[in-house]
Amino acid sequence: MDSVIPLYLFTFTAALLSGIAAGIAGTFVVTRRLAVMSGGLAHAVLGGIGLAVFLSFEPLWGALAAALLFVLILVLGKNRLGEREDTVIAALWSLGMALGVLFISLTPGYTVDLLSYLFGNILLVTAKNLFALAILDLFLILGVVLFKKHILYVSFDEEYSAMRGLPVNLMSLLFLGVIAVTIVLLTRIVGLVLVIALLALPASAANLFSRHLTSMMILASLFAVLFNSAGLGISYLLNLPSGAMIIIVSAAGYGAARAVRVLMKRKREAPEG
Amino acid sequence: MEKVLESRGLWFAYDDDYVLEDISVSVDRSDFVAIVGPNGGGKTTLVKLITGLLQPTMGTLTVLGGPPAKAGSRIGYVPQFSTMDASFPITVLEVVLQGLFHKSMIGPAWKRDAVEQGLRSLEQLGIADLAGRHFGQLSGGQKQRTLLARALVSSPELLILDEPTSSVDIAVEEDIYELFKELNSVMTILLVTHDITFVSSYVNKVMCLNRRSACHATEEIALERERIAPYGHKVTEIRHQCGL
Repeated sequence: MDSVIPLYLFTFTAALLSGIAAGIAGTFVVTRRLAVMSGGLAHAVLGGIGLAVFLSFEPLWGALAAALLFVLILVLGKNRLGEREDTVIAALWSLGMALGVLFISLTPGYTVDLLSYLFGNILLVTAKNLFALAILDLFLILGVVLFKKHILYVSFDEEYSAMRGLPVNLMSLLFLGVIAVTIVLLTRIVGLVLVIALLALPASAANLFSRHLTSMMILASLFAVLFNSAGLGISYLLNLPSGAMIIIVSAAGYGAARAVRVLMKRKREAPEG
Repeated sequence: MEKVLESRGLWFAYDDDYVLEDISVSVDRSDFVAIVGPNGGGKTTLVKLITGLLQPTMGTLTVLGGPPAKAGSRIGYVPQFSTMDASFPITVLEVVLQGLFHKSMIGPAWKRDAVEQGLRSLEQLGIADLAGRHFGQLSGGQKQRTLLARALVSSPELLILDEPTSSVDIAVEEDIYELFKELNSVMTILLVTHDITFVSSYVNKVMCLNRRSACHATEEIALERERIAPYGHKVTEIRHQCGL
C-alpha cells in the first residue's frame, strides 16, 4: 500500500502534517516555558518503546503510554510531593532512556534500529503514522478555534484566569497531554533526541514577528513546514540523515529570523528619507 | 451595611508553616485600605485568599457577602507586572478584554460591545491609542495602566492593587494615585504597598500585616509619620504602637 504513493509526495505530506502539529504545540511549549520538560519527555519515551519492542507490540503505544506516565509522575511529584520540577524531569529523562536500552538489549534476536528511534528516519514513517498526525492536526486546529481565548488567557496570566473561574489546572494538564502526544508522533520523523528543536525553533522564530497568539501558531506552523520540507529535500538530494537535516535547517531558519528582526528594527529606528 | 471584606480568626499555612495567624479584619464599602508589612509578612497570601486562589486553613473569610470563589467576577485585581513574560504575544486590547472574559465564551471572536467596552476602559486611562500595541513592548507606566484597565473594564466593586507603583517613576506614581482617589468614590480599594509614607494621604485605613494584623485609621499614622523617619523602620514602629 505504502509503495503506491511516490516517495516525494509521501515525504512532503509528512513535512506538512508534522509541521502543523509542531507549530501549534510548539507555541504552547515556548509561551508556557516547557522546552526542558518537553526535551525530557521526548527522551523518556524510549522506555515505553523498549518495553513495547520487548513484548513485541506496536512501539507507538508504548511511547504514548510512557509519555502520559511521564506527565502524570511530573504533575504528582510537583504538586503532591513538592519535589522540584527540574529534578523530576532530569530523573525521568535518564530513567526512561535506561529502561529503553535495557529492554531493547533484552529483546531476543535484537533487530531494532536504535538509531532510527533516537534520530528519526523518514523512510520508516508509515501511512498509519501520517494518518495519526492528520487526526492530531485536526484536533489541535479545532481546539484552538473553539478555545482560543481560554488558551490565550491561561497562558498569559494563570492567576487572573483562576480568579475568574477558569479551570486552570485542567487546562495545564491538557496542554501537557497535547504536547506529549505531539512529541510521540513527531519522534517517528526527527527522532526523540531531536524533536524538541522542531517544537521550539519554529515557534521561537514566529514569536519574533507576532503580536497575537494565533498568528504565532500559524506562522510557527508555516516555518515548521518550510524547515521540514527544506531539511527533507536536502537530505534526499545529498543522501544525509533526514532528522538531523531538519533540525540544522530549523536552527539556520531561526538564526535568519533573528537577523531579519534586527534589520526590521534598525529600519524603523532610522531617520525618515 | 454589607461588609466588602470580613474575616474572623483566619489562619493560613503553606504545609506546616503558618503565614497568617488569627486575622480578623473588616473592610466597609468605599474604604481605601493600605495593606503594609514586611516581605514574608503575608500580604500576598492575604490577597490570594481574598481572590479565591487559596483556601483558608482555618477561620472564615467573606468577600462581597459570600465565599471568595464566588466574588471573582466582581473583583478587579492588578498584579505586579514585573513577573510577566515580556515576549508573550498579546496586544493591549486583548489584555484588557481578559477582564470581561468568562469560561463560557467559546470561539475566536469577541462581541462588538465587549471590544467597545475595552476601548472605553483604555480611554479612561488615557491609553486608547495603544490598543493594538504588543503588551510586552510598553513602558512600565503603560503596562500598569493596561492592567488597571483590565481590572476596571468590568466595573468591579472591589479593586485590589499589588504594589501598583513598584516599577514606575515618581511622576507616574502621583498620577496613578490621583486616579485611585477618583475611583475610590465608586469602589472599595485594597492597596498592598511598602511605601506607607506616600500612600497615607490617600487611604483611610492601614492594615499592618506581619503574620498577625492590626488596623489603624490614618490619623494615627499621620502622627507617627513625623517621628519615624527612615523607611526601613516604619512598619515595625507602627506594629509596635498597636501592641503586637
